[in-house]
Amino acid sequence: MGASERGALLALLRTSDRPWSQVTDEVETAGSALAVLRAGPLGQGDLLISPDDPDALAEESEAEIAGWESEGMRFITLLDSDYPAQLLTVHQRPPFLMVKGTLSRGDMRSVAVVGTRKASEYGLQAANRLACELARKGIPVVSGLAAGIDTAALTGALSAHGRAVAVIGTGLRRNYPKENAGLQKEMTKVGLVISQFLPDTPPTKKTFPMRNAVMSGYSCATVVVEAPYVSGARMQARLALEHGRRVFLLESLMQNEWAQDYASRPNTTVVRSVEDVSQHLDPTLLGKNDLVRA
Amino acid sequence: MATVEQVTAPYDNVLVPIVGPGGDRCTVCKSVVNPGYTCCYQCHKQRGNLPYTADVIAPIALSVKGGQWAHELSAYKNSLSSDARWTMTVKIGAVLWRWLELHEGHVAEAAGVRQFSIVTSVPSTRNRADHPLSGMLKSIVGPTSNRYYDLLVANAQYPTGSRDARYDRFIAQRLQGQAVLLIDDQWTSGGRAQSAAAALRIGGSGPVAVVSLGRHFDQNPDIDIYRTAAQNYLKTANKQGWDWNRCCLRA
Repeated sequence: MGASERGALLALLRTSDRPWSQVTDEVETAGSALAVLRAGPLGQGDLLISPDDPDALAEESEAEIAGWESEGMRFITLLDSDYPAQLLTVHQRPPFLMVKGTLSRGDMRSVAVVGTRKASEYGLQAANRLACELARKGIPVVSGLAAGIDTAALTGALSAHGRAVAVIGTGLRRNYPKENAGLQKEMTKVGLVISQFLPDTPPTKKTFPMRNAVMSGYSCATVVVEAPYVSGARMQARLALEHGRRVFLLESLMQNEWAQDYASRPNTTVVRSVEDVSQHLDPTLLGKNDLVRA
Repeated sequence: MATVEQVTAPYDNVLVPIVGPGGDRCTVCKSVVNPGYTCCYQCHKQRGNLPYTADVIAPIALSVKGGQWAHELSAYKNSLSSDARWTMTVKIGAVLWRWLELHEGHVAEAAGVRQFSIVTSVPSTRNRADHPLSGMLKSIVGPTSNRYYDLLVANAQYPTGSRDARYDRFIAQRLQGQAVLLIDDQWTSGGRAQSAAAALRIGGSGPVAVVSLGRHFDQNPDIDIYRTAAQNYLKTANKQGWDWNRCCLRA
């Protein structure tokens, strides 16, 4: 097995003392992870292998990736043509994705539906119905795989036989929460599960916000269904606006002060129905790329 | 089809303005200066190195290192996905379109001309055959497409990617006094844009104004006094907030 680009990328991330975001920029600009790895300087990540043999590091990482792939996971780097293009347009694009399930270019027009783990009955129904209706319109639904709103959204899309994508805050070998292990497995069969982490990565305080950034970048808009001030969903709304993506706030959210504040910002829309959402989707992510004055 | 308004609306949340006139900023590039100076080190150096420099420099927004706009200004050229490059090229083109409609008159006034008869761009110094900026200005941006010309070529004697300011870094076609609007994607030190402006003047142009899509901005430079100045500048810019109706040339 030779030194591959993907092996080189993984080796770079593990051995370089530069932050991942910087390594990602360098690899994108060079168009090659092998070139960046061979150029050094390497960090102190792996002391067993001589730091001046980058190809050996890349080969070792490649063997590890091949092992993961034998379990049905795929390791996709930003150098690969099937890395989701819409995610490449945001500054928080991860250097690689691990995926299980089927990739689809149609996800460029997907909508993320997110909200609290501790949802009300009203919130759960609203998320389920919204996802179901988006799916019926042929719009892919993206969510986390948390309890509450996320679960309601994904099951709603699946119940309508629509496209559903889960972006998770752990490695693909993990199930968090445990109760969703069955749903995660089903998603890998009929949809797609995406993780920006290595397979055994546990859930931490850091991984969920990182996941929210990827979910925002993967989808063309984010709908917040029900969420308190301190929530991943509110954070995702902020990140989505920073990415230049549209944010939809369900009307019932307006009882929250934070949502009233967000509703006054540009590029946000308070919505009641799925029609309100589909009307306002970003035209540049929908393949309508001829630019006209008015 | 997408309209300029639709495509640029999300940028209200993305763009960080250049601090307006009257603030602590470099008189040339409008970025941060250290207390007590009117011109930043790079701009001062370039004025010493070049026989001519641009008459006006108008960055549209700050390109904050690690931020979304900085990413787009790099990735529209460097992304490995043609879909991603195209999407970003259209979006950046829409931002430029809208900004030029509102503010090109202010740039012309500052350059002492009624209008710019020619638009050109700073060419690639990385051996890129077709620079995506040139393509954007030729075929996407309404206000530039019918007066855009590739007037400059990089001098092959210089190493690729070099940022040094040199009068012969680029070679311009012969001009006859026309005022030129020179578009640059990202102004980092300004070495390339200023070299391009010098080449245009040497080629016989009239006034040259540079509009750059982003002024590179590092909010965490290594040296303490620079860092304090940079963070104060960014704080002022964020407080000012993005407003399409304001440009860095007008209060």
